[in-house]
Amino acid sequence: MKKIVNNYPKKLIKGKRELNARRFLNILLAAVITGSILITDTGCKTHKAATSTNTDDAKAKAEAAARKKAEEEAAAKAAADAAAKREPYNRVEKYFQQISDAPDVNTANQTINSAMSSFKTGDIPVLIIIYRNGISVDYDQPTTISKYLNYLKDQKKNPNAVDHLEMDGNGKITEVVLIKK
Amino acid sequence: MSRKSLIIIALVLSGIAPVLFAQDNVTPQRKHAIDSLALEKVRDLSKYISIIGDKGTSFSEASRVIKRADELFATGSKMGVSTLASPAVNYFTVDNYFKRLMALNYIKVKIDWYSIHYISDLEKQPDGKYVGVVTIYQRFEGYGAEGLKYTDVTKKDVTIYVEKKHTQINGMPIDFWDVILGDMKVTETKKQ
Repeated sequence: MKKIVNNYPKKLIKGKRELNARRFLNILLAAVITGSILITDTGCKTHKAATSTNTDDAKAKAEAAARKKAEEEAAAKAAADAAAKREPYNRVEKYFQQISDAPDVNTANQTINSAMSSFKTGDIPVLIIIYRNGISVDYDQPTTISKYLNYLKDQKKNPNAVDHLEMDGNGKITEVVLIKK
Repeated sequence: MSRKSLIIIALVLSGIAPVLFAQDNVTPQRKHAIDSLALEKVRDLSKYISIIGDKGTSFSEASRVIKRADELFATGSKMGVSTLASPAVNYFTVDNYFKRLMALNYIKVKIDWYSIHYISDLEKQPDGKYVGVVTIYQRFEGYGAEGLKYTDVTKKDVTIYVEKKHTQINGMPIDFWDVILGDMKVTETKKQ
């Protein structure tokens, strides 16, 4: 065989070698192109996935931020509503304390006059709960706000907390329910 | 009436009945609240007497406080008054007692009540009222221009009546405990 090959004309042998080299180059080129395509494709896919993930993350973050903001706003509104609802209670309890702590009768009377502006009249009822257990409620003898404020002044003590206030449309208190502290 | 209806009625009543009975049932906690309320009325009276006797109290304030103090007593209740000078005890209607107290001939008057306590617990009577007796010690000091002029300590017993009453407030039915003080008797007068 070797002999036969050796018997080929040199030109022919050279041409065959070139052909093999070209084939090799073609295969190599094809492999490189395929590899490049594969790499490019994979790269695209990765990029696409990364872009998609980034978009989802941003969207989720934005949604979470919006949700958090809405929750904070709702909590702030609820707190503001609760404070607005509690305001008359705090005001009345502050008056009660100021009257019972007044250093003299004149100061107490001035505070009583200021406090009276919160109530519809001086005759609105004041109920005092002395004991409560479920639906069973025991009251002291009902009195009026005018008498009660003077009671605080006379006794120099503030033995009851505000349990409930009834208000009219003008924001004036029409009924006071107190409970023993 | 069918048997089924009877069973339903029985079940409904068995749910309501305990609630209705519970309202009349005075538990120890409830009784404690009533005892405290009654004792507080006596302490309130103590403060009123101190204000009425205080020469620094204006006439209008004293008159207003007398009304509040009057409201604590049953109509016609009497207050015992004693002095170290005589073993006799005089009784005045509470209204007269307060007016006399306001007009005492001293420059300054100090009245303190202390050791206020039940000597006979509130007990339910057949008519549904609760009755008890509270003892108080009253320290009296009358000052003249030259200082302390008269002082004594008097032990007094006051009968307390507590009754459950019913009223309506803004159309809502309310049950409340009405505490009423009766006669105040002097049981002992001694030097301070």
